[in-house]
Amino acid sequence: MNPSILQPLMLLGALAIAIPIILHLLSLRPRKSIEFPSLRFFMEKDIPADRWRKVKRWLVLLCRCLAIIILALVFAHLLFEKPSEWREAAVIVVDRSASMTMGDTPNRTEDAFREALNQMGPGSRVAVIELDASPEMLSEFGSVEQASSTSNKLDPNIESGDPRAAIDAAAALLAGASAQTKRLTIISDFRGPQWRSIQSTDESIDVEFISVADANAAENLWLEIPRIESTGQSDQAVLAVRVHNEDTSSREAVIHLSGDSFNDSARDIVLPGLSSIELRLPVELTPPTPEIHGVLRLDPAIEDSFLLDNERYFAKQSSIERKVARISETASPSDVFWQAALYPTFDRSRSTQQWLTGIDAKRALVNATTNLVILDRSTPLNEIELKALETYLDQGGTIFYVVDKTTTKQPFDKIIGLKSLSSQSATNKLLAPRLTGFDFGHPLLGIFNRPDMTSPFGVKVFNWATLQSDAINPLIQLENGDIALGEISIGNGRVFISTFPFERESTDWPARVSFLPFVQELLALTSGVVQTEAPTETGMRLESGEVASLPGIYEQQGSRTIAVNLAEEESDLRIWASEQFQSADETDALQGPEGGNNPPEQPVDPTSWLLFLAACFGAFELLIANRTSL
Amino acid sequence: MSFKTPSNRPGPPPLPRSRSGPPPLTVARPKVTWDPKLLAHSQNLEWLSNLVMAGYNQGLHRSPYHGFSSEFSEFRPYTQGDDLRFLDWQVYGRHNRPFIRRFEAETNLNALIVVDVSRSMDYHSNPDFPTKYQYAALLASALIRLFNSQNDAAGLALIQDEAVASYSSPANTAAKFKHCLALMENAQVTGGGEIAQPLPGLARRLKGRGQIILISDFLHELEGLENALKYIGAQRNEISLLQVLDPEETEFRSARQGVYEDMETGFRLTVNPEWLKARYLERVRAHQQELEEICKSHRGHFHLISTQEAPFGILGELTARRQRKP
Repeated sequence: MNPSILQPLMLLGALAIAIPIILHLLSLRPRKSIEFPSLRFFMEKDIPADRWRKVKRWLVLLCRCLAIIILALVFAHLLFEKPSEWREAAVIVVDRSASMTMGDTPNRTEDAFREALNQMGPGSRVAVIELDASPEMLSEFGSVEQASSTSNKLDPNIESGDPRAAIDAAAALLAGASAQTKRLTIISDFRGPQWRSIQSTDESIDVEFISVADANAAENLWLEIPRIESTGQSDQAVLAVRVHNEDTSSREAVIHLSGDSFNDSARDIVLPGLSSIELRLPVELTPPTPEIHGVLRLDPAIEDSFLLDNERYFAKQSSIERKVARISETASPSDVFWQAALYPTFDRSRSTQQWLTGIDAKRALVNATTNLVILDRSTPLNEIELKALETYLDQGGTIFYVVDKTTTKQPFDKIIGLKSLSSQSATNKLLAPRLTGFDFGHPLLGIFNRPDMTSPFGVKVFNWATLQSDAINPLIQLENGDIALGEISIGNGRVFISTFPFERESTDWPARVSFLPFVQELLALTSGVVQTEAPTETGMRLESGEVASLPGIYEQQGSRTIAVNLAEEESDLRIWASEQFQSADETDALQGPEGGNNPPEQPVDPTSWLLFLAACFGAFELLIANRTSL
Repeated sequence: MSFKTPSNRPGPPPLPRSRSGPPPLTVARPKVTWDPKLLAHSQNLEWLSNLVMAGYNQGLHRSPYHGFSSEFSEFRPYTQGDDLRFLDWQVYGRHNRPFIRRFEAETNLNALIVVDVSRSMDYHSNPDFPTKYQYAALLASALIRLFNSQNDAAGLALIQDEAVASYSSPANTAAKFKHCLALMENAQVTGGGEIAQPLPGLARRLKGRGQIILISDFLHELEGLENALKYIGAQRNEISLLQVLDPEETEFRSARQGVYEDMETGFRLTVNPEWLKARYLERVRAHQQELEEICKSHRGHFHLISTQEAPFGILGELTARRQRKP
């Protein structure tokens, strides 16, 4: 039994024992009394002995002092039980960054906060922490009612949310507060690169992620094709973006930029009442991801733009690094956008670039371990190149085939079995068909089925081609029933066919926020690293200072390490660790503390016992007083 | 408190000697102001005993013997040696047989006034009223004067702390009367205890039939008093209980809330009269009723006297019940 005082200041109430002592001393003073011949007719019984009266006085004083001390202890919340007798200790980490102001996110944040509180039991102790680099304790451990009173403190501020310190603080709180169950609830939109960090918590902590991202927040925003400008440094660039606000009635537009390439200062921008603004955002260039082997872009308009440094690849086979050079600074906006999306996978070092042309590029195509080939239908291909693509497909490669409105005969159509095609255009852009009929079960589009992911619904296509093929598997359809994106399996490889180019004249998808995740998912799918059933590690031991390479649950110095979002996505969080923890905790909960299906024991509230003692002393005092008076 | 009746009737317990002068002043004594009018008025009253007395001198009370009073008792045939002055000549003329007229004897009695001088007697709720002891002293002086005026011997005993504090044997002299007054003037009204404890001893001091008048507030247990009255009645003494109470005790009118202190025990008690008045009055009446029943069961007389009543009236009321019947 370790007694602990929750509110030590209330112990000052024990000084109130001076009151009965003073009363006792005052009663000892000779008081002016009324003489009466005999008091025997006032008494129920005989007049008590004087000795008993003296004893009675001291007993009454003792009872009063004890009652006051016990009441002071009750108000001070003296707990004789262990803190582990808390039924549940929960810490709610609430993101208050500027990105939480998007659309209806504040209301959903409050709803999620109240729902998280409603899941707490009556014996739960809840603390609320702000998600910030220097997290503020919004509410210390207390009852659910006390925690609910902090709902008015959840308004976002202009600070950027760094989850690392907040989750560390929450883990420290939970480590100090022993309870039967521990829960860490994180309420955020999970935007930003900070979520890629690893957080270590106690193994008994149940981690729950509640995403309140506003999927429709950017519907009113129209993003012009951005362009990337070089800063002269190998690891930095400037991304120029022009943002149009279609809803001019809104007082402000909030732009949330997610991605690993943007530093903190460029995130979460609030534009007060502007219809158009150009942002110049510094971009940090990250080294190439080892699993992305390379992207070959075959486009006659930008010939010599994408070349594979094949020699360097074979010269450095021991290294995972692959060099993909981007040489054109004057490419079309679509190309620039593609490159911006693929930016982390590229090596921008000029010193390592080699300008390969002609046969070198074709040779590279045959021998490269490229994951993805982007092929426009207008690209003229000779027989050697066709053979190379066939070989590439047989080896399991992926070709993203973009069909534009050109009518030029393309021999690649025969390889994939396209019979005929016709060009279609929308007479009015407002009436252009939208993307619909998504096959969310496909690995490429499964990311859009997540609740925290921006939906691609609403993307308009102005120019497209109608395809006729028996082998094509439609992945995305237009509102008129035409195929927008399809898949054809050729050998071990596959061909994704887009019936419209990603030019501004054909679609507004590149300006939509859902485009970047789509491209990332395409790269991830072709690289074979990130899958729907992505590999995770469970139970591996990490040495001190070692960083996990895959998402999962690791053991580190006897504790479990949560590896959050270690995959290469730059946008949103992938909750691998959360699922693992939830399943593990559900198993523990079913088994119970002793391994059986035993309900948790209800802790005895010491306050009731103390109040009972105080009442006993009060009753005893009254009994003594009544025994000799009336 | 239980009273033990001596089986072999040893002599009376030793009594404190009556002092010629007043006792030394140790505590404040209540000032007793004698009322000459009351004393003079008492000489005009008669206190006749309801029982047959056996005095030595001529008096007003009935005697078991035949004497020379004016009260005709019986006729008795003349025998030789009878005084011819008592021969009823009319009966002799009518029946031709001599008869002697016999008359009841009238004798005096020995009265003992027993006054309670415990601390509770020194109480008066209103300064205009005398204390119970002052009232009792006035009554006692008047009764002594009354008995002396009708040729009865009257004595005085002051009881305190369950013992006789002062004692003056019954006598019919002016000096004895003054001595009694001095005893009452100098009495220290203090202490406590029951009045019943020394009563058997005092009854034995009377040496025969007599009148014992107890003047007290009787605010104590009545068990001992009942035993004492039983013993006194067995001695063929007539008993009169005069319970002197202050109006506050019988009516509890002032109803002051505060800490009440028992005058005899010093016990303190916080009393709220609003809550306790009805219960208090009920108990006081029950106590008086019990006291009266005990008194009547032993052929005694009980009188409840309030100190706000004039002693004249009380004295007249007491003697009116004892007037000679025509």
